[in-house]
Amino acid sequence: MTCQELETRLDDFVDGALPEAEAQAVATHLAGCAACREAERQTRRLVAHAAALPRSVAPPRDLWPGVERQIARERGLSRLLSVRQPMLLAAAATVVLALLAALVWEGRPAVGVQAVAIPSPSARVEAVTAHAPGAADPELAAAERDYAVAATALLEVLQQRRDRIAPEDLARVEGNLEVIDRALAEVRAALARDPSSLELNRMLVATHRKKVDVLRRVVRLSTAL
Amino acid sequence: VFVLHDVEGRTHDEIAAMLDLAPGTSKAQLHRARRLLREALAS
Repeated sequence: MTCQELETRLDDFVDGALPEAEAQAVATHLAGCAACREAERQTRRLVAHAAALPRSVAPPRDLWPGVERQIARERGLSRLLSVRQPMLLAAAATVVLALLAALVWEGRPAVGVQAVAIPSPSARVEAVTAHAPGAADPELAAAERDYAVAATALLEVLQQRRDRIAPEDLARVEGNLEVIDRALAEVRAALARDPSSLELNRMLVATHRKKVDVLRRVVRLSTAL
Repeated sequence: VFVLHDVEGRTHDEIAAMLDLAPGTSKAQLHRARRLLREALAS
């Protein structure tokens, strides 16, 4: 028997499926051929390993709570959206009415309109509040509003104490706030693409918290001075 | 074929029936799978 002939019979030999005479011939070849003995050894080892593998692997159970949460969340979201539909229509109608009213009032002097414009302490805060109602999650929108209110209040205090803070510190704080606002815009954009992402929701709240923390620290610092 | 034969312990006849193959094809595929795995594990 040549090595090639043995190679074609090796599997059956290892599995004990060869007729007695052929098995004898294989054994004789193996006794005199180190290379084929090595192939036989490797095959037996492979088969033993494979036989020792579990027949099925149960998925880890701890995946379920996450899946369940997500399902509940999406159900809640779709319920919310269906409830919100009439509200959206009402909001759209309000906008149309407002536009019509503005067109009617256009002919009149603009005194009343000027009084309506409320001066905002910072364009930065406007950017925060302007996006808040667009958030898909009402809790998140509420959190964003709360943070925006806190940030506005702190920014006002900061504006009052501007002169007490060293210019380089002020520049650093404003640089930090800009970075945070950019991060907020990025997270919000990502959230618009994937509104149900828990991770992004968390990130948005964490970024807001960071902004308020920075402001709070600066205000506290300026009070101490 | 490798999983069905060597992990789950089915015979070539059973595998052939399951996968709608000739038993010889199942044998040939097992041979090829074992050779490839042997080589992969040896390297």
